[in-house]
Amino acid sequence: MEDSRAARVVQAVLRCYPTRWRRRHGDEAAELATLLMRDGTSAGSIAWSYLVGAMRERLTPRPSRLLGAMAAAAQEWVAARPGRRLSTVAATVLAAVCLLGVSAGMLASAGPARAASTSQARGHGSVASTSQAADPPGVHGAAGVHGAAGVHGAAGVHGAAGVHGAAEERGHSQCRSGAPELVPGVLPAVGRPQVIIGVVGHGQSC
Amino acid sequence: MAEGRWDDRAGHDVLRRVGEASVLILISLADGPKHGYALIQDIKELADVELGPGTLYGALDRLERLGLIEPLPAANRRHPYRITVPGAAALRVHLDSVERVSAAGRLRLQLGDI
Repeated sequence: MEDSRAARVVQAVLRCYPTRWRRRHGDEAAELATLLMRDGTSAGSIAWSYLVGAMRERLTPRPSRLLGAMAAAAQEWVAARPGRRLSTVAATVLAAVCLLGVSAGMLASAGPARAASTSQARGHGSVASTSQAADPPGVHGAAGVHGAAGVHGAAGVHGAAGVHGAAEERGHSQCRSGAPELVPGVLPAVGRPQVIIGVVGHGQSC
Repeated sequence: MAEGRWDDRAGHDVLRRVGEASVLILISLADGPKHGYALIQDIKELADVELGPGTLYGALDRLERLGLIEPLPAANRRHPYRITVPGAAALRVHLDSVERVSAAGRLRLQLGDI
């Protein structure tokens, strides 16, 4: 009689676990409790251990659970209810889409800046490593400021004039007078980062 | 890592943060697969620690998520578990670390005049 009551208590506590856990461990956990009680472990301590385990299992945050909960909450909210007008739901969805669009746009506009900083560093590196012995210090300085000259590989060999020549031969104008120009867009910066960077970082006549 | 799988970084003691129960389970599984009841009995003999069943399943789930143990096909409602190769490596790293700390502690006790 006492055993069956203890077993019922343990069974009740096991129901506190999530369904997924019970499907996996439920039978074994019940059998384990029976075996432990037969060995002399009190039903109370077994039930308490399972209860604490169930609380931990439910309270431990996991990414999959968080995503599931967020999706469920969103679904719950978006579902049209008698008290909520459809236009409110539509406006909220539209606002969310717009926010996503703005975020994507900001990410895209940050692309050329990232490309610039990366290739500029590379430009410095290549100048320093390839042309330090051959060129005068002034050429190094110019190439370092431009950042792009070293990428073309001309600064180390021909000096500053060689850079411009090489660039113009390829149809790009690196050195322009006047204010610096903005980066035209993502694609040119990705395709030819060194040219675009030269326009932005320099901005003075040579 | 937010409890991902164990990655084999040299000398990284992943078991430092998983708790005593998990370490004891790994030590118990080091000599062969065992199911829950056998694990509790073995750990009681081995370390004089009575592992509660709730603690046991929590630790088993955590170790499995980390890839340190794996379940074997169930037999009579009992799910045996066995230690994996990364699990054995992680246990070795942890035991080495514990040994070093233990040796340093003994040395200091000898040097100190208490």
